[in-house]
Amino acid sequence: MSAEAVSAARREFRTSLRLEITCEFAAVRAAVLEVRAWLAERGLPEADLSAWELALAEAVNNAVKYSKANARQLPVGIEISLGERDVEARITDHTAGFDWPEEVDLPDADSESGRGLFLIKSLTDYSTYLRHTGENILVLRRARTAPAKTNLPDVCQLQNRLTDAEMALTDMTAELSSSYESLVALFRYSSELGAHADLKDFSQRLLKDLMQIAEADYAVLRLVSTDGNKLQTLLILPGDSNVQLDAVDMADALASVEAAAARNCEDIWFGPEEPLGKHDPLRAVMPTGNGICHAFFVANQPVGTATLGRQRADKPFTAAQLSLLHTFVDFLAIQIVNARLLDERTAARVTRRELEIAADIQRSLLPSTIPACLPFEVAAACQSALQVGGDFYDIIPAADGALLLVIADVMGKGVPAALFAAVLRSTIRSMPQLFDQPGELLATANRTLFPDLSRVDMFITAQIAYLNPRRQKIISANAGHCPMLVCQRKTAVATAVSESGFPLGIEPMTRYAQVETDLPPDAAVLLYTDGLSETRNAGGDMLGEEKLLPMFAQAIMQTSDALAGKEFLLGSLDDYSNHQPLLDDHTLILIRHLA
Amino acid sequence: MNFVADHESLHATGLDRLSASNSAEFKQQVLLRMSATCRLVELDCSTVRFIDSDGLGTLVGIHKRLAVNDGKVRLHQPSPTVRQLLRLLHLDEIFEVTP
Repeated sequence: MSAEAVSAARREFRTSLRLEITCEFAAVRAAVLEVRAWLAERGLPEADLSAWELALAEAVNNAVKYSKANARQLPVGIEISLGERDVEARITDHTAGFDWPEEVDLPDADSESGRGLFLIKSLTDYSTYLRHTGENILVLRRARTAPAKTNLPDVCQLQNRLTDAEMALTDMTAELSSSYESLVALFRYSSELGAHADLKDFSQRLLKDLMQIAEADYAVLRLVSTDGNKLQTLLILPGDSNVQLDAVDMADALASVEAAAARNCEDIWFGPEEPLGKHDPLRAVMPTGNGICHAFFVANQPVGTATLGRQRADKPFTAAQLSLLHTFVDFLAIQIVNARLLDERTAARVTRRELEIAADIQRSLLPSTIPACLPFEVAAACQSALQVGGDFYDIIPAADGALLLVIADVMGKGVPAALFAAVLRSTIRSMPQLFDQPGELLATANRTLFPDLSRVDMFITAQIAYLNPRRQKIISANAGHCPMLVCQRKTAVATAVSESGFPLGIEPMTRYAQVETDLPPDAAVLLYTDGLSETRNAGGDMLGEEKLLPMFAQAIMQTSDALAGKEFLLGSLDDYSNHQPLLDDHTLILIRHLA
Repeated sequence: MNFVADHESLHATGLDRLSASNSAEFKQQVLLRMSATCRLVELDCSTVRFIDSDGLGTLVGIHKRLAVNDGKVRLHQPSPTVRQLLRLLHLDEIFEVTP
């Protein structure tokens, strides 16, 4: 039988019968008949019943016959386990034991003894003899004979099935009762959830209880790494051992039973019959004995493995103990996944908070009032998109009643963009002597900010305009920003001032040309960020500068002051986008000559 | 267990099994009733449900006693399972098996 077949056979639901008999021949017959009847009730065919009757009789007779004189008061144990594919018997004796032969020859025809072992070997598919101080266990296994195929089940078969169902129910009831202890433990954990946020601490207490209930000596809990490639150790119990286990590569299924269990989605048993591989890391924790490794999954994704081990090689874990491992560990898996979801939610909350901070910074940068600059009137707006961008504008009083108008867009979103906007604002405000030379102002700001911006691969587009009411001019310079638009009311046409240099943070020594534009009565100027020109309509078409120009001209023609013009323009943009939420900030400064 | 004996034969009936738990007693009873000139021990197997290696060893021992007189053990009407067992152990070659 291959290792896969053995582990597959053991994963199925098995039902078992356990007997203890006094160490005398008279008791053997009754026990063998009890086993036979038990197997018959479960539908085993006559061929299997006869084979087990004889094989068991031979095995148990030997246990009685060769029992040590001082061990005759000890019982002989018989455990029968019935699975879908095979039947297994374990006979525990208190004899001196002997070396189980690989092959047994038939003795001479006239020999009066020596046929027992030959019969056992002939009647079973697998046999092994586990020797131990004080007691030994003979393990016998025989595949079940497939039932004969008939089209219609007869009454007898139906009765057998009914009996099977009743027995299964009885077994399940018994198992439920025996699970009481684990249920109590799980309820206790449930009530503690939330009170203990530490997953490791929680897992440790759960695993300790499991070890006690399942009579395990060791336990190892591993979790799949976030990239899904490794099994990382979370816990090794008992905790006082100094053993360290390195992470196991999930691809290393040949060397590690844990990786194999996780990859193949199966429980793996190991012990004297199926020892751990030579290089299996688990050997460091469980050098001898036997154990089971169970991989646990949530939504078909491996979450980790739990391995239980026992020092004693002759006492493998039972199917019920495996079920117990499943129950505990699957419960743990849910907690692990919940903890991860909680982490993700926390991270999302942190991100949301970060955006709130960025929005606060952005708002704090905007001027609370706009200084008067007659005969000009200035209006401004900064409408934030859902995701905070790096737009900002500033309006700073300058000498001789002039105003410095700044509009900028820091590449990127969130707190970093908001911080650079703040730095740019301070940098500009610290150079009032250059306010009337916007080109020089941009060049100096670029030199100042370049080291910081280039270090984090960010840049800023900015437009600076010096509004001189006395000379009725505006002097502008542009660092890669949207061009300033100028509209003359009498022509009803808007044009763009397209002179521009690199954005700030691209080249340290960039020079910026200054453009002087006359602002006669009824002239209007628009400084804006790309959020305006990139507004999309319901069909996904971008507005662009071409359509923004007439939209701006119309706003000027339809209104008579800066504030109304600004509202009209924002309304037109909102109409264009079919009232959808903004994808990017809408920031603008509108200047009108009122005379 | 019932026995009917004469000079040359012994017939045993009413046995339900021949195993480790009763084979020693069976052998003792047979040897007690067997005459020195006995050449046939016939066991009515129609009622025997079960025979194990101890039971068969006992029959081999009786066979060896009879062989001195050129005698034999006859198993009458063994069940298919017992026949199968005899074949497996090649004991159908030394015992006479009658249907």
